[in-house]
Amino acid sequence: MLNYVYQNLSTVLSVAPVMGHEGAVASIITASIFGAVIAVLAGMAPSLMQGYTAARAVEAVGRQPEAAGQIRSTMIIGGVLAETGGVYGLTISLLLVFVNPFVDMYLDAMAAL
Amino acid sequence: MLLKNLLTAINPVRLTAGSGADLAEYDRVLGLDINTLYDIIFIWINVIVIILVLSWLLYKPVRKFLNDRKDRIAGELAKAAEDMQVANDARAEYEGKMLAISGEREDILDAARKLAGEKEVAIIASANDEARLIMERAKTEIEREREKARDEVRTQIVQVSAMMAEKLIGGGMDEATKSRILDDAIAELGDAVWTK
Amino acid sequence: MNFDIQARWRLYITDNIWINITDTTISTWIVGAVLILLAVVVRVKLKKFKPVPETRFQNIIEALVEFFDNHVTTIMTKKYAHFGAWFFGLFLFLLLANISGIFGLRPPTADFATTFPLAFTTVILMQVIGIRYNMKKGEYVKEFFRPVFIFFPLNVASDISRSISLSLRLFGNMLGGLVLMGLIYGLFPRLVQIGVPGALSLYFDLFVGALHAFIFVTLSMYFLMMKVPETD
Repeated sequence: MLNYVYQNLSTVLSVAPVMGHEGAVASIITASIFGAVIAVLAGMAPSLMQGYTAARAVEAVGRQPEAAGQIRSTMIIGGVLAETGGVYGLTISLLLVFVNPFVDMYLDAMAAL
Repeated sequence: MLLKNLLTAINPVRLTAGSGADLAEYDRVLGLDINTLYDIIFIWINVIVIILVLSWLLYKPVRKFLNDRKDRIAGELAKAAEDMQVANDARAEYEGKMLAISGEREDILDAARKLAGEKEVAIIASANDEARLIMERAKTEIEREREKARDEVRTQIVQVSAMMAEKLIGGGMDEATKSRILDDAIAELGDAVWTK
Repeated sequence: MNFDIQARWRLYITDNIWINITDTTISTWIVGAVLILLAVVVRVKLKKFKPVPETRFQNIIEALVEFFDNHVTTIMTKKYAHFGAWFFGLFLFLLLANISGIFGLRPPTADFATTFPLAFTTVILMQVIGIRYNMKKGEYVKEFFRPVFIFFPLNVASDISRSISLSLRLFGNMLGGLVLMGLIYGLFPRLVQIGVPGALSLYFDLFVGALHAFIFVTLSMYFLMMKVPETD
């Protein structure tokens, strides 16, 4: 499969005179979809670690039930901070899938030629 | 339409709807070109104005209201605590006075009772004395009466016996002899017979 | 599926410089109008507020302001509590802006051009509070060279990256919510679109929106407190 990816990446540069712009754009979009899938994989780590955070928070509440409100707030704040990495991945993948800048860049570059 | 014409007429800044292609080149989700910078500045000014107006109209007056209320309640609580303190002090003082009063009452009553006791004893003693005096006087009176009655009875008996004796003797005595005999008889008899 | 921001009008300042009036600008104006209306209504009704609240409106406003006042006083001690005025406005604006997805607008915070100024303002406020309260004996400048002298560019970069992280967190969450809600609405046929996606909208729009408004403001306050010496 990696060969397929490599072949597609190289066709972007060399395929335009042969396959026309549509082929090149299709290749760019294929590559972007691969990139988007890999980017969303970055959402795995925050989920795991937020579950771990919740487990430790529950443990802390069990040890001292009066502080439950403060522990809850701290857990949520820590969770949102840890979420940032996953959100970065999600943003990149959304940008790649919906508003792909590379297609525009390619078309501008080809139009300039 | 009218508004747009009006705005275009009076404003130096042209507000156009633009053509489709002209505006459509803006379409983006996240682009990082010069348009974004203009957008950032424009929206920045907007948001700062909104937030400042919001904080000046909503946050500061309501927070001042809440703080005033909190201070007023704290002041009222302090005053209530102070009043309570004053009331407690007054009540303690009055209760002290009440206790003192009942103590004084007890003292007064004790003194009065003692006085009454003494007076009672004195009155009883004087009453006893008077009763005794009366009794003694009565006794003396009775004795005197008894003596008198005894003397009378004695005289009468002697007279009767003198009469009988005279009758027995036959009248041959004169008065001087009679009285001499009577007195001797009385003196002989004495009290021995009449005290039975 | 079109999740783009579209420009509706253009304000030409000169012939080559223009301001695009986009979807987000219009949404910001609508949200701002609602908030200013609320503020004016509260200001007018403030004279009739009684010491013991009787109306529901007074109760809600008092609860909101008191909750936020407590929050600010907990994080930033009483000495810096006057910064709470800006953060309260920010909190309300973000809350309403994130929720406005339910009302058919494109949330203004789903545009990087909205979240970046707000985060950048936080960075500017960080420097302001540092300079104003930490400038004697040059503590504010010395903080940049704190662990080792060489760390100066790293400290500057960490300040700037805080703004980027704040803005991107909010932007990414709002954009993700927008895209997901659009996809789910597109998934169901027209009839089912009435009730079922609303339950998810409850999570994506309401909960995430309110949570991230709160988180943005809280994190800004924590960053501000980092620039200030620890109280004894």
